[in-house]
Amino acid sequence: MAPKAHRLGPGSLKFGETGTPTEFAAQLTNARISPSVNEEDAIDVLSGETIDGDDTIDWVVAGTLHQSFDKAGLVYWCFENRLTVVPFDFVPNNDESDYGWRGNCKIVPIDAGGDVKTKNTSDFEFKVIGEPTTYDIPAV
Amino acid sequence: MSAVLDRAEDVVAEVTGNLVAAGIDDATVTLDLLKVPAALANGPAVVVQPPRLDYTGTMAGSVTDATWEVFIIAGPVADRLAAWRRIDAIIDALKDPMDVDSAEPATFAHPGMPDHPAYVLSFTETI
Repeated sequence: MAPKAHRLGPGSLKFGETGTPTEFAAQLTNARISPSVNEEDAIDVLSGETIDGDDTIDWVVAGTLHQSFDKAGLVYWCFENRLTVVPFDFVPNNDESDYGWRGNCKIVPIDAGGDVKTKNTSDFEFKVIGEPTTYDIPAV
Repeated sequence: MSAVLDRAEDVVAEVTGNLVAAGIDDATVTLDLLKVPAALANGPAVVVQPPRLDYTGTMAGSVTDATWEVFIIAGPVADRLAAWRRIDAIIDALKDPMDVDSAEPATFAHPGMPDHPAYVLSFTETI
């Protein structure tokens, strides 16, 4: 198979209910859905064999965004929706992605402010509740 | 007309408005460096230069940051302190409203005329 490496973006990251999602791609300089695998120690049994531990995977929707101080920005939206669980929809590249990611995540507030006379950024990390799913994006 | 040139004309209008608001009404504000020699006969010249453009990637596409340089040129060449005073008044009138990042001393050289004291203001904005 020929090697492929797609660039991130232009893509989409939406939060909120289907039908009225809020698009934040224009503010994002970094966006990702990240797994972290929690490996439980294997259990030794009397026969000398081992039984695999119960591994789990935690997911987060994370990234970095340019702060804006208007009510249309993600800083305000995160504050207004803090600790609520909302659907998300992540498409890394509108032209190249064969599939997107969906799920539900818990919104937490993010940094507002920083250095004076600077376009400040905020990092965000929203825990995915349950497992994310993928869905096919029809070829255009 | 391009978005950058449209914005350049807006910058000229903003500079002009800020100078008038500060009581400086003898300055010529222009995009055209070639108009400076004639303008200096009447007072200081303020020239808005084409900006440096930087493109920052976002998930939705690139964002354009424009770094503008604005030349402030003044005479009389025979009285450097008077020229400096005129330039200083213009810097004072622009630094806060235009969110200026820096002001660098410079010299304006043009064929057929003596070198003039100048400053280069710099500020960056997203356009």
